[in-house]
Amino acid sequence: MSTVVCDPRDLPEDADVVVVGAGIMGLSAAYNLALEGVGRVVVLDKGYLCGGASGRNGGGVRSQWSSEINIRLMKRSLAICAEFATRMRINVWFRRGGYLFLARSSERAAQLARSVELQRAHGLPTRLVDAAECRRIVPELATDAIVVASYNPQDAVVFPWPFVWGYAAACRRLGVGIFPFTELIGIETDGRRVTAVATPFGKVRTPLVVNAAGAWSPEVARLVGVEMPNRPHRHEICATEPLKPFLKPLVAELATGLYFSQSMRGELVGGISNEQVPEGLDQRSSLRFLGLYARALTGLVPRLGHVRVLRQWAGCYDITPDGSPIVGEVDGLEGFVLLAGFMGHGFMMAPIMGQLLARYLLAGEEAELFARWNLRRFATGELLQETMILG
Amino acid sequence: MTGGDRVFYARGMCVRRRPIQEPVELLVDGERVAADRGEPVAAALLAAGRSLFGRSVKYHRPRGPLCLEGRCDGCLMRVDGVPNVMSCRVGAEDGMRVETQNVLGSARVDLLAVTDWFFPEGMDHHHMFTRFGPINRLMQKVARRIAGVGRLPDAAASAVAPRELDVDVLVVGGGRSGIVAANAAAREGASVLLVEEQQTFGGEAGLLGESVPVLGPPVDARRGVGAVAVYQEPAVGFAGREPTDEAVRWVLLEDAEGLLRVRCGSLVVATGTDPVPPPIAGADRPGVFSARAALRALQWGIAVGGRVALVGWGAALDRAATVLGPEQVLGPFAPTQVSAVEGRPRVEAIVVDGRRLPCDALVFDGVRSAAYAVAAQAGGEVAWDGRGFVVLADDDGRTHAPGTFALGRVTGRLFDRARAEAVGRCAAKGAGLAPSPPLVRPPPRSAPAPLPAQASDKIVVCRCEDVTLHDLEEAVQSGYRDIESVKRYTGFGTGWCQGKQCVALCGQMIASAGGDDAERPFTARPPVRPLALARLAKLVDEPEPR
Ligand SMILES: Cc1cc2nc3c(=O)[nH]c(=O)nc-3n(C[C@H](O)[C@H](O)[C@H](O)COP(=O)(O)OP(=O)(O)OC[C@H]3O[C@@H](n4cnc5c(N)ncnc54)[C@H](O)[C@@H]3O)c2cc1C
Ligand code: FES
Repeated sequence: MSTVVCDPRDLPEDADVVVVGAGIMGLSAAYNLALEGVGRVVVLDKGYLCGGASGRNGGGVRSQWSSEINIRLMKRSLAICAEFATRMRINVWFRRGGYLFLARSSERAAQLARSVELQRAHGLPTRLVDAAECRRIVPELATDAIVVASYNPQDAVVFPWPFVWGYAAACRRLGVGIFPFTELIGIETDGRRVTAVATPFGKVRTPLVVNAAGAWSPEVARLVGVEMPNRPHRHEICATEPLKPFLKPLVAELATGLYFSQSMRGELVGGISNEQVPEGLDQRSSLRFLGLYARALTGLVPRLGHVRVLRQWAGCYDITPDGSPIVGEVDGLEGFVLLAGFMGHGFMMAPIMGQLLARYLLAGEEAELFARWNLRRFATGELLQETMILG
Repeated sequence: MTGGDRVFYARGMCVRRRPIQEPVELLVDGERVAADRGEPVAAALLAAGRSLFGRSVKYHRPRGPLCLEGRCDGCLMRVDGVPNVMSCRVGAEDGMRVETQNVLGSARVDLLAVTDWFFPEGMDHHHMFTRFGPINRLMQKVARRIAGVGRLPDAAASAVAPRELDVDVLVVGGGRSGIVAANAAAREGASVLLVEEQQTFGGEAGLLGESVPVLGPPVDARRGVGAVAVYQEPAVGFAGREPTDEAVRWVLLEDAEGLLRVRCGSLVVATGTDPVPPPIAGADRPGVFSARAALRALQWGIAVGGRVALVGWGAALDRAATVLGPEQVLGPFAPTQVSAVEGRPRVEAIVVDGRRLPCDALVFDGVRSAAYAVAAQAGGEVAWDGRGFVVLADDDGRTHAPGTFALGRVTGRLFDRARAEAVGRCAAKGAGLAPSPPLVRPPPRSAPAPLPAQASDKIVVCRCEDVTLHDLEEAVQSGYRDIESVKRYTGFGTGWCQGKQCVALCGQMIASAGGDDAERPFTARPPVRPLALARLAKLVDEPEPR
């Protein structure tokens, strides 16, 4: 069959693994499982590919983080992203323009300095730069309020959609069945372990279910009586008219949560924190967001005042209480595996997390990481810490 | 150079039919061009024989104005240091600097036009050059360098605070149905604001020379004001507004000065339709105009061509034929009869049933797309009615969104005067009215239209993003069959006009290519038309965190 995605009417009756969610996380997991030799992999999605957060994000991939584990993982993810186009035979417009994090207060400056030290200790070329150097990197920047910035020229931006299509196409080549418009509506167990999943098009018997439903993952877990503490929060974003290339790095500002970069099409793509968003699966756009974003962006780059917003949209962040993901098996229910809680940075996590999950499930590798990020930490109270989260 | 001795002239083929009243001079790519003060810059350029305004995004194909109504990307130019200005929307002033964008060389000899020639079948930007790392990286470098349309603006713009307005009834669209509904609502005692995006009231009827109802005095009627977005949210940190706990409907309007943030009891949408360019090879070139564009140009005193081929059907096309004059027109021809539009770059001939007919412009009409974006953003449902996407409304104009009404062509249904008045009265009675089910459901889609045969030139189905019919077919063959997926995979509908010109056509073509029947269009994302950041920067006034 030459099509990348399958018709729900062709859903098989048996599978070795069913992955719930054809976002980047689910597809990366499915691809890596198939690559490691798992035979019958099925991926279900209730909507179209790119309908979830994976089709709605800013495409930022960076290794500038404030925790050792994130730095280590993102470094590996970036390496996969850099090779993705030629390995998977699809252009993802990976561009290493760097990430420039701005601090406008001494507290934020101190926070950046600590992270830079940690990142350098892990071999990253990140450095602290002053206002004058910020202006050299982005000449249009109004730098009067900037105390200091951190800059890693190796960080990058990508175009998110082709990552999803690329994983999907590669999955297909390995025989994985990808079924959009096929919602998971039930999970069956024998009391101890998973036995099958239900969809409107029939059941699939399987011993293993990977819940990669992102912001919807608590809903999926609830189908089998598992409570997850992550919650969806709307995060908005917009794109401007396409301009000739002028902006090299992705620029971010920690206090407001403003970030923006220039896509390969020339559009400025960016967003900002909006503290007023209530929890919930809401993907509507707001006027408040536009106001906050336009004010912060034109304040920082006054020459963008005449530039027009072409389109705004929203997706859901998948927020966990401690900012770290929830992955691995669930105590007491064999065969139910979680791969969720990736906040607002799951896109860049997916390439490496899919790989790690496959090796963990098949060979028990990285057991320590999967223990640390397991759901059970919320019961035992061993919460973690990450401070460089945007939005 | 003054207007005096060159009042009537024809270069290129556009003809100025009225003498210039107040001569001014524009500086177009360094050359002086005569204009009438205040007339649309695009009109002045057309009258001066310039129909090539710029180059398309991907293949650098020649482009010129198509709609003259601020809905297409054909007239984008850099004006006084601001990129991507719709030159049909700005009035000519003496000394105005107008520049062609997105060319390497000049608009006429754009070196990057080789991409069009190099990729005759179209460019598969997803998979090209993915074999070898170094070549892939080089390709990406080149691609980035040539991306984008305009250069960064020369200077900063000062932020403008929005004006705040509360009315009982807001009517969007000052065509016949909008005016009748507005008058009826005002007669009930409601405060009514009616906005019309164009500079003249009357919409389609006005262009056709039909009678336009008179606006009653209590209606606050404003021209040149467009509805640019609708939101539903509480006021939190909104400058000049009391905070609210409850979600409120906000309609953002834009006029020449800036934005108006409107809170209204009822929203009445009478936004009419947009013309859809026919899928003909080469029909994206300069010199192709909608019938409405031809009629607008005539109102500005300009004939879009000396020998005009008519393609399609409909009252506006007939009217254009009449006003242009029988000796100036050819046709009308059915779109399926026309296999190609040729020219270098402007239209020089069309090929009809295999015969080459010389002409200097093509004027089309026929398929229309409801201008549903405002109603959809307000929560109204949009569905396919067999010809295009329309807003679902009942006999009283009620849509699925409480307090939002729709009437006229945007609904795809007939609203006579009595019905239009009833809508106005209903709207005046107030918000909160639940739609009275069942709403009229459009009939199921008929069998998909046959695809036009691939021709020697590209059949561009989305002008803003240079998406071809071939691209749609490829997406469907890859298994991306639904409209949201095809939109993403091909990029159609993601350009300057956000799909106004292409969504109806592509919806149909996807089905014709074997994809799904799209029951509804892709999500109508705000804003309805591009909105400058400086105008948005003072919407919120709470302190910014440091
Ligand atoms: C506006 C925005 C900007 C962002 N910017 C960045 C960024 O710059 N960098 C970065 O790394 N990350 C960013 N993120 C975060 C990133 O997009 C997400 O973390 C990532 O895409 C999560 O991938 P996922 O596959 O887990 O979830 P998703 O892509 O949301 O996929 C989950 C899928 O599950 C499906 N599903 C749900 N329920 C069911 C069911 N019952 N049955 C079947 N299928 C179901 C959904 O339809 C969906 O397709 C951003 C997010 C947003 C919203
Ligand atoms: S024609 Fe404008 S987006 Fe398609």
